[in-house]
Amino acid sequence: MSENTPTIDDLREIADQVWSAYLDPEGVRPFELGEPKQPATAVSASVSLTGAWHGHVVVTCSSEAARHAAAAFLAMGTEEVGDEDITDVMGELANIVGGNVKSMLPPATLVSLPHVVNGASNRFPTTRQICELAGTWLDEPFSISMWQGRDAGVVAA
Amino acid sequence: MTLVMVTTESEQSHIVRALAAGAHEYVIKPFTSEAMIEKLALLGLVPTGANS
Repeated sequence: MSENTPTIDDLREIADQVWSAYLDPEGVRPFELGEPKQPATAVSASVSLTGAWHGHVVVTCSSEAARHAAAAFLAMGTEEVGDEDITDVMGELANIVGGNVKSMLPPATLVSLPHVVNGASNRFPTTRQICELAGTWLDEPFSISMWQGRDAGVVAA
Repeated sequence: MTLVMVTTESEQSHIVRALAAGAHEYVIKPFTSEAMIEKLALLGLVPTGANS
């Protein structure tokens, strides 16, 4: 891995900002780091980075955690949240994390629109996971991970 | 019309281009509601002290 590639510490810093801004502004519902766990029913949102670095930034959590995230983000009650809200918010979370990862890479890096999959995890053939920030939020599985194309590294720009 | 750019793009060149193109304010995500209200107050779009 190149020394320019963002690390798990970078993901942690970005996650801290996202939680304090949107998911836990009062500091009472933190993201608890722990062992990666596959949720029974997952929502997975990703953005792809291309150019100076090729790979994906992925936010995956249980359907229940995604519902709570949408409610927190949109200042709604969890019972008010619809599927479209969940898709929008999970895509936005992936966009925010991916955009901040992009800012750590050389300027010639592009970020895609978010892609959200309900009921399954995104799959990225010919990539390898280079880091994962995993744990629980509100006792539900939650993870942020980075996947790098097997032949791709950081190209100096 | 007041234009506020809200984006994850934090490169200085993007900020300069956005402001040169007519944006009145540039907000980088993630942002807190307090920070956004403060910026909107500076633009006169919400009352000063709306945070309190």
